[in-house]
Amino acid sequence: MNAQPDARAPSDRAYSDPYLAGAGLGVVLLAAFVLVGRGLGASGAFASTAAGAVVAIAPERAAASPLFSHYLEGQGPWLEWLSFELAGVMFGAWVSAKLARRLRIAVERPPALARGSRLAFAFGGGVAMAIGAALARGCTSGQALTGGALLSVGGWLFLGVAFAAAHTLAPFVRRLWS
Amino acid sequence: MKLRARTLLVLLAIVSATLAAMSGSVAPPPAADEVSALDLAQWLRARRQGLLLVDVRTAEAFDADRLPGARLLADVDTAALRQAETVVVYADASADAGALHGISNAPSSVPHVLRLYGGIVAWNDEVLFPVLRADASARQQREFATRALLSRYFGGSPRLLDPGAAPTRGRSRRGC
Amino acid sequence: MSAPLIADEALGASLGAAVALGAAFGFALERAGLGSARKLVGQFYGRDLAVMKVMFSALVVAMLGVFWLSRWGLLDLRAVYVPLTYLWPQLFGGLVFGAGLVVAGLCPGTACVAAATGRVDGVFVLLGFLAGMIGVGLVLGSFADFYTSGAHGAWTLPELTGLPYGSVVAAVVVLALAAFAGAEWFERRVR
Repeated sequence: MNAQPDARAPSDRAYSDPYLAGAGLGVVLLAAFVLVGRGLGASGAFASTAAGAVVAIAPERAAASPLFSHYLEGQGPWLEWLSFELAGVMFGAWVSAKLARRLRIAVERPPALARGSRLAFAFGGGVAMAIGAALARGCTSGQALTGGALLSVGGWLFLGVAFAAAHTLAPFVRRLWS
Repeated sequence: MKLRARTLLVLLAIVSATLAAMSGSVAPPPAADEVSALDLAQWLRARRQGLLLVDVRTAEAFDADRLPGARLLADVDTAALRQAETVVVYADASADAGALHGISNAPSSVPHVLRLYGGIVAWNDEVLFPVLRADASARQQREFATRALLSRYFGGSPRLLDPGAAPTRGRSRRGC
Repeated sequence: MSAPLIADEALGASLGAAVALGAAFGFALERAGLGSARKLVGQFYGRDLAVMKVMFSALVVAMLGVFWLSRWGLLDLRAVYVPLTYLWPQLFGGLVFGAGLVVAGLCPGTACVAAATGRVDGVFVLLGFLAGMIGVGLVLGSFADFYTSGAHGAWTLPELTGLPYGSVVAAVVVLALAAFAGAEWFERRVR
């Protein structure tokens, strides 16, 4: 793993205009509504995969879980729409990065933070986000973006609260980022 | 280039939003030759003169369920059509324009032929069995009272919906 | 023909659409630079408000698209899945999610983008997310009442406020434009 400390953040100029990229993303979301009658998402793919993993090891506990049981119905955890969507996300991201020469193995971190620490915090943050997303029935893509576009009360609530929490906690974790 | 694209997007958004605010409802508006179920209910309640309701479905469907005072298309003769001032045609959902052919071919001129927007399904959903959400505000509950009265007038009953227990809207999706 | 175009039962077409839509999703996110954790957290330190700009732009475009396609009879909104509202779990979940987001620097979607472009931190966010999901799933039964509290089904802002759908759409657009103006002003001031 070639892991030079990421001493400088990638230049903003190299990226697309956020409004135009956002508008493009909005068209994709609209296309999802038109094609399959649902929006985009991410956390459901992981809930589904978790359900599939647990049911293979401890089927009774999986069936008893209000989270897992949901994904064990219908087509089953391995044909979850969101899992296929995320596979697409990774492919599309890879293509974009390849075209822009932004593919590189790295651990994004401020120079003052050790690689191991950054990865530990990434893992820990992921665990916390999973708790939040499981309770909220979605994450920034599913609840905030999709729910927001459909004027869902829960979606807007989640959007506002999540961003407020992140902004509030930010000063206390400055050392993670500078 | 970027600024021009952004400006265009902003203008589009403002125009689109203004038109949206003026439009109000997200549902497609009734066409010029359509009447909503609620409007029709008001006409019937007011015993509007010369109103003729024509059912263009099968006789079996007509026997099972029909609008108050409606007549099956097959049973409607040109004399009745001539006497009517307003003819409202309905099917299960929105009757398509082809349903009007049975009427339009009538020899005499029939002035006002309208289609019921949403058909008998809309009649049942909006007039006979209107739904009030359990989490409706006090003002929404007050506004619903007139709908409830109308519903009972036609022999229906208003429904109270517990949104938490209701089946999810749209297809059954499993979360995000 | 009225949308949605692909039926639930057409599994192949539905999953194929999932991959295609996901690819476009991932492409757009990477284009905007949101696969970079340091750029993403710039949002929360007032350095770089790209997250807000991308998210709000996408939300507004999709929202307007839904409104007009529905109004023109091209999209049947009743057949579109609206995420459900559970007030208390979403309130608490939002807080925890936001905290995790600023620590990890990536959300699940952008972590996929990061991982796909070689960022190991993205991979670790995804691993933590999966581990967290397994853990939550196993213990959630003990909190089942809380998990389903504040259930309001598919509740929309027009239904909550009693305002017409179009008015809420317009209000959101105004809010977004104000936020964009504020962001531009703020970023210029910081620079």
